[in-house]
Amino acid sequence: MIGQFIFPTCEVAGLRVAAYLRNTPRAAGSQSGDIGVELQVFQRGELVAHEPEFGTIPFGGVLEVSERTCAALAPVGADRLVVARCRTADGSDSYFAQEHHLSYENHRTGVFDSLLYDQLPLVKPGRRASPIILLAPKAWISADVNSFVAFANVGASAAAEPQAVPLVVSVLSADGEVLSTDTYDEPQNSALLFDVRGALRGKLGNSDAPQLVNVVARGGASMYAIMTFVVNQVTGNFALEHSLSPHYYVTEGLARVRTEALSTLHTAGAR
Amino acid sequence: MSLPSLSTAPGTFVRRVMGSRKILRWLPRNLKLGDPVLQFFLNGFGKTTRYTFVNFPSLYAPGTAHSCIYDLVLHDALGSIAGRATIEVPVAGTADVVLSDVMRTPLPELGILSARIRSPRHFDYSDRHLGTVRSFFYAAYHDQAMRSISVIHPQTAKYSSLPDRPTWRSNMLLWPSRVNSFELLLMNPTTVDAVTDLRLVAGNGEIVASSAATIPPFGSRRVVWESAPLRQYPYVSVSADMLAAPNAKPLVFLNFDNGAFSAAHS
Repeated sequence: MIGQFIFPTCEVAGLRVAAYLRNTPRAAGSQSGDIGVELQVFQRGELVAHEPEFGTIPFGGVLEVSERTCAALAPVGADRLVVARCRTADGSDSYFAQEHHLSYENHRTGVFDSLLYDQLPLVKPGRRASPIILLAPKAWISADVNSFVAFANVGASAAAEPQAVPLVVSVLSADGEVLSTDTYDEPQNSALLFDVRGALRGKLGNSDAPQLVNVVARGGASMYAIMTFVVNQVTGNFALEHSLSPHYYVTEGLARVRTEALSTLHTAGAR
Repeated sequence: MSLPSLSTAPGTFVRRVMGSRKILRWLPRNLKLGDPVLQFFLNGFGKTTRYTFVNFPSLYAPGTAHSCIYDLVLHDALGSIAGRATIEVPVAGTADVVLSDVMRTPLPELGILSARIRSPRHFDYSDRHLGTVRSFFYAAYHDQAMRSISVIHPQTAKYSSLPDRPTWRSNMLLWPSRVNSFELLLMNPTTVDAVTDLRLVAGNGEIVASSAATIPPFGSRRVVWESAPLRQYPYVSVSADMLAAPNAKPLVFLNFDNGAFSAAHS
């Protein structure tokens, strides 16, 4: 069985990443053998490091992926995508769920935050992933505070290829007004760090009181892991949380949601 | 005699008055509502709370967009209702809510907030293709001027029936050498008392700290473990003998030596 845990380095936000890959009891398909880990590191779609046998996670144990254990995660001045493929010994290509621990640290202060989420299935060759629909109503900006949304995506192969559909990211005010819209043609196997303050170009975020905005996105044609950082750029302290995909909010009509969601926002256009 | 309100569920009215479920199929109705969703409320211990409520039906189905309502109920740590509020969120909008602004009652230091979305329209089924809608929202815990901030999504809904009570161990590693203390919040999202033994477990399975207590229905508790006595262990994990409900996992704050904090669902 196999799954892949993907995450962005977020170096541009001033953070250092570490993932702690786990091998713990699972309800379905539970097994107690080792998990082998293959590691790939990409920068804007280009494979910059590949360790087919990066390590093994013993049952009940931990395998650390960080610049301490992987030289390709040392600071390079750009954000990178890390793909950890976790495979059980049975050789099957079916997916298995396993939660891993992701952590980012501000090295200046030693303050870190963590996140747990499940590894993803592999993208089947020749099958185009559905466009994403993102709602991130958790971005604050002020004179001291900024927010970033990290879009990490992985394709079916390690080749540098464009996504068939661009990613369109808008920022909405609390009243629902479209404050900005930007389009990104990110390649597969890349990590995009969306800077909310930068996108707003001075329209908000100049006061001391934090103002909430909602970052929404649609498009892309890849498998995504999306997380939001809220950073106090004076103290260096930050919050980290993953996104909630539409199936958290609604139980039916997801195909129609993918077609219709956010559509009127973008046709209305941003200033 | 007062009739049941039509504002949340016309089906409830019909069921009570006519005693028939069959007729519900023929009636127009608006959003099908999932159970209220819960998240912790903190108003002390150096932290305060704000919540964000997004009008997601209008973003998912913009062709039939209209404003939405969130009904909020705050329970104190013993589960008693400490306040109520109703928030209207405009089309494509998001409300950034501080409870002291919308509840005119004294707020507890610790509790849980229950939120449930509904449509303001009594008879509108244009959103029915969304199926059951779940009232997910975000909580932000921060100190003054957001010098530290944590953003967390809810993990559990209110249970009206008795759920399974699993034994559980978190996959999150906690490093005693890197923090000053671990601050854990635990809730009971069910209608009956829940006795839970909350533990810190070393990598070899040894229980290195534990705290058992009974949490009343819709109540919550806070447990703080200083890290200094735990520094002989490279890392520990949180576990529980029986969670009150399958996903009623603790929220874990990491308090750092410099006064900063961060938090994560475990």
